[in-house]
Amino acid sequence: MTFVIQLMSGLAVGCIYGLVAIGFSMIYRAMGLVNFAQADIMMIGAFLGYAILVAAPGIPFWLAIIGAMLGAALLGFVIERVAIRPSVARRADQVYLVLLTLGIGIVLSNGARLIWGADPVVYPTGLTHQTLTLAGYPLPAVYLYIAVVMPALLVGLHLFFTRTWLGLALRAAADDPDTAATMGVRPALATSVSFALASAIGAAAGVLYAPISYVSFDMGVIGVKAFAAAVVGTLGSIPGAVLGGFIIGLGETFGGQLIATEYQDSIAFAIMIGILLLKPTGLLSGARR
Amino acid sequence: MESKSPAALALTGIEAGYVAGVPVLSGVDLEVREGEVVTLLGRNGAGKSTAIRVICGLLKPNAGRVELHGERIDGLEPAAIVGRGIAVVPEGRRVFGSLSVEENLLMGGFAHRRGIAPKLDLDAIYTSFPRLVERRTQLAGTLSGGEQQMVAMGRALMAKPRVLLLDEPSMGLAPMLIDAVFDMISTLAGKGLTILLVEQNASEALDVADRAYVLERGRIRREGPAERLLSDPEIRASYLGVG
Ligand SMILES: Nc1ncnc2c1ncn2[C@@H]1O[C@H](COP(=O)(O)OP(=O)(O)OP(=O)(O)O)[C@@H](O)[C@H]1O
Ligand SMILES: [Mg+2]
Repeated sequence: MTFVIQLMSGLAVGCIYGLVAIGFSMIYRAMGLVNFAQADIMMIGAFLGYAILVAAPGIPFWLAIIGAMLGAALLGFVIERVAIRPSVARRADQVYLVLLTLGIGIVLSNGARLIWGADPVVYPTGLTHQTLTLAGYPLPAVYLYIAVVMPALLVGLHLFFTRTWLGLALRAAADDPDTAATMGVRPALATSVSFALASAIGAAAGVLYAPISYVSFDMGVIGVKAFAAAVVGTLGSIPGAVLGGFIIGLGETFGGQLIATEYQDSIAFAIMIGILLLKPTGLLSGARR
Repeated sequence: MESKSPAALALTGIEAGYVAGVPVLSGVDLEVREGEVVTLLGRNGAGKSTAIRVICGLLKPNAGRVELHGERIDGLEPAAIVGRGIAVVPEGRRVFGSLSVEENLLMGGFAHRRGIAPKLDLDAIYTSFPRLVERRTQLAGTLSGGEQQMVAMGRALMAKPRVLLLDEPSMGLAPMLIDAVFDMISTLAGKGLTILLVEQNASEALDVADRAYVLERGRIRREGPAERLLSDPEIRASYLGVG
């Protein structure tokens, strides 16, 4: 493999980690909770994309992305309402809430196994095998979608959080729910919306990741690497999540090449540990979030 | 000498607390008439902030009623209460630290978001607090205490309240800034705004207030016109540090 192909593949997978990491960060900020179900929501998003492509053959890929995002948003909203809110309302300890999200993740992954089976599935779209040629190098065609969707989502999120009332309200409620409530924000609704948004972004990651990987009930394992990305960039920071995603994505791709691809996963964590030793609060702590 | 104007805000028989069996407020009756400045005095832990939280709807009373212009508001969600015309400058300012000054102010107008009003109201706030103009893009969490107090006040005014609640706005400020805060309160009162002012700074509070209540361990111990309490020997001894 040449350097350019490595670089592109590292950036692509970095985008995927970054998107899942954004989900971790958004929920952490909204409710101080590490939601370990985030990667399983990504997995469900990938399956929703699959279901859409199967149900409507020939449907444009971007419609599958949007459909999966909407479905996952609804799922995230419901999960927060039904599974997380009651425990938060009873002031459950953080440890139990984190365990709860792990449990939700397991339920989601077993649910997916029941519905779509244990064997990995491949997206029934030309995109899966298609390549495009960039400066003479063959690259998976889905990279093009990643290259468009990732910046579009980032710009969209930025505008949402800075230019809309709802976005402003979510940030205010994340800072101080009681005070935001006295201004007319309903904090409980704000956390549900944050969950829905984080889930939608996770689903986009899942659908974009599917053509370069596989879709399976256990693909949520990449969540631990996305979590490492979120921590590297400072949990709670969206720019940090993106930065962390690229560091982990590029690091494991090049590192895996240098050492051996079997060690890719360990490399992601070696990077995280290394960075946290140097800067325990993550790279973007103290920066504008 | 009872005025005939209707109570803008009235608390009747309020019982409230955080833990079952530990009442923090017991049978609190308090009234703020239209256009009046009323101060609620009391020592640390007397229950002043608790009363504010009850009025805003952040804490549901166990008994009693809160009425705004004759309509019951206890039982409403905080988000609904701001819509009825109550805004608060909370204890410790509570600015949104990761929002810019301008975003904090805009959040104050959140209840009016359906119109273009909040954007227009910003200008009026910047006129009252010119200092904030140069800080508009700065994160509120990085401001000085005095500047944060201006943000908290500006933010509350953005809600265009009929009744403004202020919980120890002078807390932790340098003497010069304390004067500025009380000047601002006088200005607002001069414009006819109805104000409930919680303070430990009793002499300054009694100076701007029309009437006062003294809260002790969750019960109203004294009430009356501000001048009378100012000259009351018992009040002077326990709250003004003289006599
Ligand atoms: N969230 C809470 N949970 C349990 N008890 C509380 C809580 N907040 C306040 N209290 C208790 O209620 C009592 C009254 O507190 P409150 O904050 O209303 O006093 P305060 O008059 O505002 O005091 P200060 O002048 O110090 O602000 C205190 O004994 C306090 O310990
Ligand atoms: Mg208090």
